[in-house]
Amino acid sequence: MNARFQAIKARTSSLALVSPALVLLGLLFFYPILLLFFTTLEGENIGNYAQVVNSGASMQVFLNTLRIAVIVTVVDLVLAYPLAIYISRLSPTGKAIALFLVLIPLWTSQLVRTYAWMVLLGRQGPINNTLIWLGVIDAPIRLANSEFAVVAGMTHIMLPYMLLPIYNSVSKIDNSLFDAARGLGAGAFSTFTRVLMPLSIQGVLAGVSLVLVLSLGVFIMPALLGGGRVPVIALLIEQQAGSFLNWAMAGTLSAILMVIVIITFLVIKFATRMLVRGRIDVASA
Amino acid sequence: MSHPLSRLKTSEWLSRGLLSAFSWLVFLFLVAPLLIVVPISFSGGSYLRFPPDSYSVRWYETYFGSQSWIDATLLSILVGTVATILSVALGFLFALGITRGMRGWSGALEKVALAPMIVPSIVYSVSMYSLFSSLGLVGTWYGIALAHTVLCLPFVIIVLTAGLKEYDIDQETAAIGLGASRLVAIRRITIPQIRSSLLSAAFLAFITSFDELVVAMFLSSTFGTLPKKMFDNIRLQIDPTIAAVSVLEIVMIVIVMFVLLRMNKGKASRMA
Repeated sequence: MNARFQAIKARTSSLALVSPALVLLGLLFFYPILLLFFTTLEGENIGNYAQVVNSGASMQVFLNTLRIAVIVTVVDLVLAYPLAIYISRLSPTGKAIALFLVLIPLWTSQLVRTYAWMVLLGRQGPINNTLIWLGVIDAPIRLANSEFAVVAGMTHIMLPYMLLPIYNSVSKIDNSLFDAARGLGAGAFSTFTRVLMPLSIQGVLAGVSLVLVLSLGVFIMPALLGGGRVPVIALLIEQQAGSFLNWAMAGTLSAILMVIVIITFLVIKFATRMLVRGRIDVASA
Repeated sequence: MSHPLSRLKTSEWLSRGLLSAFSWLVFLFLVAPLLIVVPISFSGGSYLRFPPDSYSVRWYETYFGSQSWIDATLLSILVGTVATILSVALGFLFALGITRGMRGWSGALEKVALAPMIVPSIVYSVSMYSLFSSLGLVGTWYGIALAHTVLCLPFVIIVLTAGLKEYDIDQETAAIGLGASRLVAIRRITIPQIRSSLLSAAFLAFITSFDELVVAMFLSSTFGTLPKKMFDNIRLQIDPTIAAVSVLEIVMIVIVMFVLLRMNKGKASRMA
């Protein structure tokens, strides 16, 4: 009886501990977002959804955003996977230095990093200067204010988000498994597909999910590196709210973006569950 | 890598060499853009030329001599400090709650608390603007601080939950057994032991707020935080003042990170 009373007491005090944060999130996060969502469904606002879906221009912006997010995710995956493997094989000091090099850009302001890319890709920036010096081009070419610039900047900014989850799962793999695979006659390729990949898939999918979701809502890079030529949803929302003061339309676009993000997140979560369960089945068979 | 080198095949040497060459190129890609900003900040002219024709400290003087830059910086420090204190306080209590006594619920509760991470900041900004405009909170610094507290909370909770899971709760139980109250046990035994996690959480919360642009842009009216000032400056009159500000921020980050990494030896990934 006493033990049960103790358990109830512990649960009650834990509830008291978690509730301040939950109240704050309820009032200043879930409530405003649900409010926005329901407002877009009220009265004549609901017509905005039809307007967005029927407008070729808006749909183009959605597709463009999705395409850029996918490109950035794929490029980051290709860059981050080998790097994560490399870091996981370094000495402890090497690991600390490598993670330091990854965390500095992660913690530096996105505005600072975007500005750095504007300098890098500028008419008189180092890339143009180098290309001229090498004789590849005669006059500076336009690198900034283009989709290329936006993708380059986003790839740079999102890379740590891809790298860290992959590194976490790769570094947990017991190194003797690779020796065992080699000892059993596996080549580099089959070691990769049958040992490394299955054991790191969770980290890979976590990184993919994070980068995709963050890329879908990105605002700063398209605004500053796109030069008005790279339309994405976040810019469209800001334009509707800030320039046209059409808050109802901004709300509808926000709701659609939110739904796309949630669907993306859930699909990857579902894929992870399927793949991880498949792996366990294979392992126990 | 326990193999004696002599047993390695040439193809393995080659693939290992390719892997490290590739990795160093990726490191270069990560860090080089940040280094580019340093010479630009010391440029003598006002053009964005790299390398600059002449060198000076005039852009640092412009920053420190400009009331609007200093005001924006002070405002961001104020907002960041309030958001940090609130989010660390609430996040610490929350992490304490889910790491003890709530076994069945802790996973679901943690997911709820991490939700702000996946909502695009533009969506959150539009939502908060609608709410705050009906409450008359648009254009107040504490409105921005409250919204930032929500955005900081997930980072604080991730770091502190990880810290508390590693901490051996028997120490707290022992202190209570020896006659300390729960509060005293937490204050004198638990908090000192997870101090480095608390500092990492506070640092992450502060930079999350200090760097945040979109919410601050929507919720401020005439005044602006430092990111808003930087954004407007880049958009309208891109001059090397922004590079000077960038270098100051990078130096600040590197110093704080160095201190935190020393305290957290070998646990760097936790702070990500």
